[in-house]
Amino acid sequence: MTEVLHSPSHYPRTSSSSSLAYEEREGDSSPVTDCDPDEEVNDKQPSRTDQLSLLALLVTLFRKSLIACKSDRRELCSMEIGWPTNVRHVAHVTFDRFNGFLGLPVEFEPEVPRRAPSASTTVFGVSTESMQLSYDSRGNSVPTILLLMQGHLYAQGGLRAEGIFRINAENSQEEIVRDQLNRGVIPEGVDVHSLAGLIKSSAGYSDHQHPHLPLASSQYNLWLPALQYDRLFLMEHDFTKAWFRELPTGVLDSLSPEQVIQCQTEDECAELVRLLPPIEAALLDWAINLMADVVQHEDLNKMNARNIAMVFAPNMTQMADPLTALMYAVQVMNFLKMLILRTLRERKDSVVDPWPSRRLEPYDENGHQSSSQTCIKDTALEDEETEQELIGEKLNEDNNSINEEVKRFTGSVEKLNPDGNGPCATLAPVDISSNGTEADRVNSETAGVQGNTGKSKTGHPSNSNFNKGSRKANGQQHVIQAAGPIEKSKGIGKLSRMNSRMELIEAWR
Amino acid sequence: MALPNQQTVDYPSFKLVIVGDGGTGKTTFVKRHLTGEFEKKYEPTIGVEVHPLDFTTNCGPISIHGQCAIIMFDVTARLTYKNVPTWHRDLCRVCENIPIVLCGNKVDVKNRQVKAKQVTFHRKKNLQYYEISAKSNYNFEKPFLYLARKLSGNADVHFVAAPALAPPEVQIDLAEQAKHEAELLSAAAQPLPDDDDDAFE
Repeated sequence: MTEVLHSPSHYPRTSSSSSLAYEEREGDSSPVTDCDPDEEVNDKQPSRTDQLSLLALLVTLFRKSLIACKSDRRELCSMEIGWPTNVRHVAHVTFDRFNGFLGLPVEFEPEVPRRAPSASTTVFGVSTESMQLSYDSRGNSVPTILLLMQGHLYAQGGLRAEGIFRINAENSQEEIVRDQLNRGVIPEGVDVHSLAGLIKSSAGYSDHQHPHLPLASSQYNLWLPALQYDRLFLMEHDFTKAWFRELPTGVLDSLSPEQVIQCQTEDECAELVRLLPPIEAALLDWAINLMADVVQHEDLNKMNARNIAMVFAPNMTQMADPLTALMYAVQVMNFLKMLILRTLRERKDSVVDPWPSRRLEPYDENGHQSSSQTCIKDTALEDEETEQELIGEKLNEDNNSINEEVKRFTGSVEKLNPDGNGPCATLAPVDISSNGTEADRVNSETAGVQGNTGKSKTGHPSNSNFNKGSRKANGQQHVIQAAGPIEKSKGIGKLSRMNSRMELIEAWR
Repeated sequence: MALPNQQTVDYPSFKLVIVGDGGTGKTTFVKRHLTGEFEKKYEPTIGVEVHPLDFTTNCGPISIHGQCAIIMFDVTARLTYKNVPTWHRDLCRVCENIPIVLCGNKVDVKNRQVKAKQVTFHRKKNLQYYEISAKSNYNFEKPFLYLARKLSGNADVHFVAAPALAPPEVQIDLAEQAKHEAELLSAAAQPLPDDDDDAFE
């Protein structure tokens, strides 16, 4: 029994969740006397008398450990004894994010940290439910990591960076920063574009897309002295995007595409948001406010409501079919844009609101804004007057362009399948509801490829037709322009996706 | 069934995909060919856009097979060049052995971050490289001409009618650019750096 009960302390990793070790032991309930003590100790203690005294010592230590586990554990661990061979399953312990360990024997309770740690070892690609959450200034419960990234993004002037959330981050830096973030560390000097990219992508896509380091450009160098700094700066923005993209499900996935498409006014959009589950609603509200913050600096970062909504949209949903996803992304873009514009208007209308409408300061881990917030608030409010005027003027323009956008895409869809036959019939907007799981830029690219699949099937020109074509001395090129701005994918994820799409690609040839 | 905006034509046509990091000028480059205008708006493209482009060549019927691609980067943004290998790899996974042109855009900008001699990726992968500037129209037709020749297998193909381009937004410093081209040539004579594709610093 002695062996059984103190066995977990041989495993350093059980120090914070010792009870879990029980489940991994062999479930043999044979008494301790069955086990060969030689096996346990003969590495270090060849003498039999030594073994006996050691056994006695262990028994003593174990008794003590019932009273004060921690100190004794350390002592036990320092004694290099062999691995236990006979272990009994004495308790089944499960871990719950909100309630900590369930079913833990009383004697182990003092070892359990007061605050339940996050169950996940990573912060990307895991559901929001299993992550450590904090409150933002609006009371939204969002993953702490996002608030940290937002804080860094703002603190490093990310809102003023041209093309924030649009410009690509550097591929090779992604893994390093991602790894650090997964360990809960925000690397110093991470660039804004990387952060933005990670935030953006955390909305939905479960695969690739590398972080985008935006900055790239010479404009940055005007106010960012060191290249190294500017490179790291860029990373931050990308990782922010990535976080959204890599959530197991998209933030908007609980809404049907029909619901999203039907939203034609800001009020309708706001109504629809109320249907979201609480966690998604909080995330969306946080993200919309982040985007609104970006738009409030449009004069510097060139990202208006449409632009920022466009780069976020593909990260907010996941769909299986690439072309459907692409077209749905336009609807989501409009949806996001209206929410952003609505938020901007609300901010304007509530200048007396106790919360500053422009949050330049990061929130700390507990959701409190740092003290410098108050002084920024004053200047922010001053700026806001003029900014809001500009925004107001843009509203009409924006609404018009939304309609144009929708019209254009509806038109495109109709063209896809003029005769109603062929594989792309399901791509018409009315059928857009097909429940997808993933969509991304790769899919966007293959979307084009898929489109061509249909073409050859309906008997339109293929290569053989080119040869017998007329003698015109013209060559036509179809330029399929893949969208760089929506981010590139990470290679590995992309490869698997590509394979699944191979038949479509083949058809394109 | 065709892609949006895709027309059925009875003369040789081929598909060209343009990829590259955001903000490198893909849309602007295409629009310059399409409408002759230089797009000044700062506006990301969502997903893909499909445009038909017509060129008039000196040749009669040329048989054209397959597809081709342009990978674009921005010579004023180092990272967009660093990401070129990723785009190339992704492209090759979908379409092996298609003619690919690497384009360094915005060469009209004085303060380049990627110098001509630093562009070596195309040599490693046997791609064609052009320095272009959509703003100044510099080399703007070269990528298309190269691809048309490659796809038709006819090195004599040339375009007989240029699209009606709007006048250049900026005048490129031709002497300066000639230096860059010379740099490229002399760099091509140098041994390739034996580092990894991503090792551009």
